[in-house]
Amino acid sequence: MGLLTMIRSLKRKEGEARLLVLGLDNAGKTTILKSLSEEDITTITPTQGFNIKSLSRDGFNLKIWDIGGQKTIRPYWRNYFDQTDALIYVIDSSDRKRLDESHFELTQLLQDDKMGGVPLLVFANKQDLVGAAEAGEIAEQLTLTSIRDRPWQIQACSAKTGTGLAEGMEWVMKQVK
Amino acid sequence: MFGLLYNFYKFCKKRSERRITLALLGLDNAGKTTLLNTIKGQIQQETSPTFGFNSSTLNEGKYKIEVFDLGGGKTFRSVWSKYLAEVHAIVYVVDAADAPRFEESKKALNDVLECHYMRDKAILVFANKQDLPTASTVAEVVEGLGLATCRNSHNVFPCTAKTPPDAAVDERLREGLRWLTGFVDREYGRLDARVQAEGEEVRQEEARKKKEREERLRRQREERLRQQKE
Ligand SMILES: Nc1nc2c(ncn2[C@@H]2O[C@H](COP(=O)(O)OP(=O)(O)OP(=O)(O)O)[C@@H](O)[C@H]2O)c(=O)[nH]1
Ligand SMILES: Nc1nc2c(ncn2[C@@H]2O[C@H](COP(=O)(O)OP(=O)(O)OP(=O)(O)O)[C@@H](O)[C@H]2O)c(=O)[nH]1
Ligand SMILES: [Mg+2]
Ligand SMILES: [Mg+2]
Repeated sequence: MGLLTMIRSLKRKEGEARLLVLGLDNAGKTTILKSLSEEDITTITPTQGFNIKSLSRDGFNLKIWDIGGQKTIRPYWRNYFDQTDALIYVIDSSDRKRLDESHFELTQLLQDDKMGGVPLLVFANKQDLVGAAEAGEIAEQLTLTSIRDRPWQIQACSAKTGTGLAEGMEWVMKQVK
Repeated sequence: MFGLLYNFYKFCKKRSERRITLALLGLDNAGKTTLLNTIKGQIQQETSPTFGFNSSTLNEGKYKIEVFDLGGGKTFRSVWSKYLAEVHAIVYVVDAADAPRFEESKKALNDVLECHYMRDKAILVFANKQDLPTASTVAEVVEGLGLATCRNSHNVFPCTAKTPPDAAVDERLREGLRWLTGFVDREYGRLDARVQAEGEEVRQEEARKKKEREERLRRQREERLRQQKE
């Protein structure tokens, strides 16, 4: 991991990082990004291809790729893996029925060579809804606890109310800086 | 001639190099991440609460120590048990200035010790935040955590993990680690064999569970497809 991280930081443009945002459809990826850049979140439609967002944090530039999560689009995720500095995986914490599916997709992602050693932030979104799963439970359901080759963090959040988003991004910043 | 000697030296060094895996546990806000940063020499880094996993490697003489820094938050503590099989010992950090939470900390520690993977493994307890005027003494921490009845080998070191700029790093951090590595070293052969075997056992169990869930998912999909057809 040490070497991989070093190579990655050498390849990276100074003061810039590339983040990839993935997760099942309806998880709230686009809403999170819009909320982070203080845009209107009342009319968001499922993402058909991808959006790129640029965010600046303390003079550091984040290029964030938000890719659609519908089943038909998932096979294209891998086309975006190159040179990823951090992976943000979004889940709908209130949708327990789909945790198995979310786990499956995440496992595939993390197995890819291009994702080797890439830090992982899991946004446990939609915490404003009743019955949302907690951090420890999600860590077990997504089998994050068997990961040893990269740092990971779970951040409970709500894209709707904005809680937890800044904390999550702060963790990502620490990893890519 | 010199090259030969040097290779021989490297060979001996490699053979005697010992890998130790530790988990850094304790309640949220105890100072685990700060303590690890300080030992790594990153004294100015501000921390934020950990809800996850981060591993660091320390070199301490002939030891290569891998430390798992885990979150101590209430909603996260349940995952500690997933790491216990593969560690040689644990480092348990207590905020000594927060006596009202000793009971909670004692409970969290006891949950760890109940796990059978912890049998005969040593515990290094850091009574942290000694710089604060309200910090409890070692004796008070021993009492608060109920360590007198703890069957695992343990030792309590008072310390201050947070280091102001220009101040020297608290020597007691290294002293504590040295005590722990010394303990692990004496038992190393047996302990390491057990850690390897039990770690593998857990990994296989996890892999089996993963398969089970993928199977469940596949069945759900098939079911859905069938219903769509009907
Ligand atoms: N209650 C609640 N609803 C949310 C939250 N975040 C997103 N949503 C809603 O969830 C739905 C899906 O949000 P999107 O942002 O489009 O989800 P996405 O992950 O981008 O979905 P795809 O683009 O299809 O992959 C929308 O109706 C959002 O309003 C949240 O934190 N709480
Ligand atoms: N005064 C004082 N504060 C400390 C000391 N060590 C840590 N802190 C502070 O305690 C707070 C929590 O420290 P962390 O290292 O993040 O605690 P943690 O145990 O990693 O917490 P979680 O990750 O939430 O489990 C931070 O504000 C630190 O600056 C210390 O020795 N003295
Ligand atoms: Mg979207
Ligand atoms: Mg921490």
